[in-house]
Order: sequence, then C-alpha cells, then structure tokens
Amino acid sequence: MTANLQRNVSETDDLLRLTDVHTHIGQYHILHGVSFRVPRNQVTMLLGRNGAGKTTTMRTIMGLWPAHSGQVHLKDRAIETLDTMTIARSGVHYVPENMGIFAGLTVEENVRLATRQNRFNQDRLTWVFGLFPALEKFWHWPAGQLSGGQKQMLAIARAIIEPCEILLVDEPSKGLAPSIIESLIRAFRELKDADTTILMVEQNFRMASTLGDHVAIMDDGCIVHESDMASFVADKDKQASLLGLSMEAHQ
Amino acid sequence: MFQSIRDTLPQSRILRGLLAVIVVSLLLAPFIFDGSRALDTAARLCIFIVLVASYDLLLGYTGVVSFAHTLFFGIGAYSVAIAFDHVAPGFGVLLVAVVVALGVSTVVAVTIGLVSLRVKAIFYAMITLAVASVATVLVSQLYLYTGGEDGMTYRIPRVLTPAFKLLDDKVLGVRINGKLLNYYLIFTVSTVLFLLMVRIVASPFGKVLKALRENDFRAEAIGYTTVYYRTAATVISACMATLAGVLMAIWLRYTGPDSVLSLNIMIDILLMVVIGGMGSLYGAIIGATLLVLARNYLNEAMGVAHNAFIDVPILAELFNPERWLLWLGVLFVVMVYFFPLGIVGRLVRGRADHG
Repeated sequence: MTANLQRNVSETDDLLRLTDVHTHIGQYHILHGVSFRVPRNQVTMLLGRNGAGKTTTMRTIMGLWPAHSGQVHLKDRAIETLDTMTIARSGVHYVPENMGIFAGLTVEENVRLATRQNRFNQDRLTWVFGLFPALEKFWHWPAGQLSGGQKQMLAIARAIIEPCEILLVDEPSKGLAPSIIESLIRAFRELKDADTTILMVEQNFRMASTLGDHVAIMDDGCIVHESDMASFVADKDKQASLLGLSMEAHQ
Repeated sequence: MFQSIRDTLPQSRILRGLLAVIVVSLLLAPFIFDGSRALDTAARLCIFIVLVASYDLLLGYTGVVSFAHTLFFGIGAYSVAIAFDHVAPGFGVLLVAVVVALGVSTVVAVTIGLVSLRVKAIFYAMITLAVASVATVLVSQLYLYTGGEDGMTYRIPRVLTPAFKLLDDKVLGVRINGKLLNYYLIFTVSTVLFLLMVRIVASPFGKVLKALRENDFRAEAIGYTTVYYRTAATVISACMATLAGVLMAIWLRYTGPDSVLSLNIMIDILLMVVIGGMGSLYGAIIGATLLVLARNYLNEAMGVAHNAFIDVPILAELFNPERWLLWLGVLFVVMVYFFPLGIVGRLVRGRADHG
C-alpha cells in the first residue's frame, strides 16, 4: 500500500514523519502500516471517512495508544517508544476531539495547566485573547459552563499557550455552528500565518481545503493518498473516489 | 497564602453560615457545652474532619478508592501509643514518634501507590483492603508491642491531663486544666492541617489532581504523569491521616484495633465524604459533623421522641432508642436520595443553576 502512495511534494524538511506504523487496540489491528509526512510550517489535513483510523493515528503520535511497530519521527528523533508526557514536553501539543477540556476547572485553570512553571507569558496570553476574545470574557468561569464553540476555543488555547513544535488538532469543527466554525477558521489561519506546523483531522472539507497546504487521505487504517492540497482540490474525480464528495457539494 | 485559601471558600451563603456555626462551636466548645462527653465529641469531630478531608484528597480529588486509610490512621496512633508506653510520655518522644510514623506511612503509601495505581480502580481498592486487613492481623499478632485485641492504655504528658491545673480559678465557669489544653492542641493542629490541605488543593498541584480525576488521558497529553501525581496525592493523604491518628492517640490515651483500624471506621469515613460531598474539603466538615453528631446523639434524640409518643403504640416503638441504627440507615438513604452530590455539592450546584 505504501508503495502506491502519491508523493507529489518535496520530502525535505518534514517536521513529523510516520513510517509503516501499526497500532493495535486490544485485540483489534487498527492501523495497518500508516506512512505520511507533515511538512514544517504547513497545515497538513488528515482526511477520511468515519472509522478510517484518523483519531487512532493522532493518539498513536501522542503515545496514548502506542505503536505496535513502525517509526514516528519528530524532526530527527524517534518518538514512538516515548511516553505521552515526554512526547508532550517535546513540543507535540494535542487538541483532542469532543472539546477536550477539564469541565471542573475554570477557563484560567485549564489554560494555566498547560503553561511552563505555572506562569503566563503576558504577550502570548494577549495573542491568545486576540484569537479567542470569548475566553478573556469568561476567564474565571467554570469551563463546563461554556458553549460548545467556546470549549473548543479553550482546548485550542490550552494547546497554543506555549510555543510548540507541532499542533495536533482532532476534528475542531465537530458539532459546531457555522458561525463558530468561521471564527475557528480565522484563528487557525492566523496560527498558520505565524508559521505553526499543524496536523489536523477534519470532516468539514470546506474548512480542510481552506486551511490545508498538504493532505493525507486514510481508509481502513492505511494512507491511500498524499499530496499538496491545491492539486487534490483541483482533482474532483480523486475527491469523489477517495472521499465520496465533490467540493461543490460541501461549500 | 490566606488569600488563596479565602478564594476556595464556597460561594453559597447557607454553606458559609453552616461552616461558620460548626467552626465557632468547636472553637468555643469547652465554654458553651457542658460535660466531658460534649468535649469528647468536639475533639473527635476535629480529628475526623482532618481524617475525612485527607480521604477526600484521595477519593474526591483523584478518584482513587482506597480502603487502607485507617491503616495510616492506625500507624499514627500506634506510633504514639508504643512510644508513650515503652519509652516515656514526653513531647520529645512524641516528636520522634510522629517523625517515625510519617516515615513509615510515606514508605507504605509510595509502595502501595507505585504498585497499585497502575491497575484498574477495583483492583486498587481490593489491594488496599488486603493491606488494611494484614495490618489488623499484624496488630493482633504483635500483642507484646501493640496490646493485641485489647489495645493499649498509656500515660500522656502531664500538661495534657486533667490533673494539670493551669489556673486555680475557673474562667467562664470552666476549669482551665490539662484536658482543656489537650482539646485546644487537637483543635489547633486540626485547623492547621485542614488549612494546609485546602492550600494544597488550591495550588497548581491540586489543579493537576482535579484534571487527572476528570480525564487522565487529556492530562497526560498536556504533559502530566498520572502515576507520579496520584502517588504524591496518596502520600500527602496518608501523612494527614497519620497525623490525625497521632491526635486520636493523644486525646483518647488508648489505642486499639477498634478505635483506629476497624473497617467500621473506614465505612464511617466513606459515608462522611459521600454525605458532605466528594471533591470539596469543606464537605468533610459537614459530613463529619452530621455523622459524629448522629452517632453520639441520635440515640438520645430518639429517647426524647420515644417519651413524647409513649402513648402512641406504633410511634413509640418506632422511636425506641434501641432502633437508632435503623434511623441512621434511613438518614443515609434520605441524604443520598436528596443530595446525590453530597450537601456541599448540592448547595454549590444549586447556586450555579440559579447563577
């Protein structure tokens, strides 16, 4: 399967690279030799239908479901055998799906948990408030009382409050109203302009095509296509065959 | 420090009022309640507040269910008992006994923590239950040192006994003797320990514990190791329970399996945490107060009701003081039904719903 991958982009300067990664969850073999690359300072979209293995791939990178075999390289360092804490401290910041916040803590406490030395860098905090003004307004509220969109903003804010090597974001638009998705797109665009390397799982193809520079498509636990986003967006037949959609239908 | 403690105070006015009444009553207990039984109840309440809060640190803040809490309570009590009985009843000996007890508790807690926290909750609970049972058997077997099933009666420093008179005259009708000093030693140390736990919970360490309780996957994904933090919480909780045991040994002047190690005490602690509200140290004050008062005075209250309904056949029987355990059970069922989050949890949630 790996040999059939399309590699239309330069393989130099990859920040993250997965090579023939297999992951088992209990008795189930979920990832069957996943290989793809995440170029530095670009937004890479990991797409695919439900159950293709996208979230498992993200969790495998984070060490939450360790790889059974294969390699995960962050720059030149193999991280597939490291524990989650070490991977997180190596600069891999993760925004899990389903608005992964700590509902019993306040917004401030949620964000503070992700800071080094438990202190905020004021410039960075101001930048985050600029991205997500609602968080400043509800700073001392219990996070459980925020709306779905605000919870997602909080989860992202927690992941970017400290500079990171790469940001992993799992389905940020899931279950959110279109107006909230627009504000998330604006925020991610600003992160992209700040040269943040992002690997994002996303079902909303409009959001994916708007933000993505690079794309990898998964099916049945394998990568079935990898290319730059522009050429994938231009190839309607490929979209239809790999994702069962066309751009018009999702705009 | 005091500002951060103040920030943790519950917002509910009813709750603040209740807490204020309990704390002021404990502070003035020797002067507003008559008799040694009331003072004994107040001292036990102070000790149980520390013990229950320390258990809540484990159960409410990390979600770890342990049945070994009375083991640490027992380590504290038996260290003091053995030291006073086999060496001498002095403050120097007490200090050494406390240091030894804390050391032993730390080693046991770290061992249990590192070995057991990697397993699933139910197996952890089973392991702690087994360890607690082993401790009870050990106390029984090592009767030469522990007094076995009969326990140990010993002398404490004279300055803490009724025989010691600080003033010749009474103050507000109360004799100022060693017993009173003993009570205020218990009250002061309990207050300091409780505030220390409140401070720990309000610290960044406490926030990590809360995060781990909610979702350990998420907490690990932002760089926190579950086993390290939960083991640290287990050690802090164990040390607090040990110090509560020390206080119990000083107050009772008796230490035995029934007074510090029994499963009944463990169940009482669990009930106090659940009734007060898990995940709120202030809930420990409410839960401990309700249960200690019920255990000590429900019997008498029912006696009054029994006498009032003496001519009504069914009611008189229903309120027979011998049935006080039945009513305690009914009280628990009612509490759990109407306050599933505990009293503090219910009051805090009620305020949030209205806010």
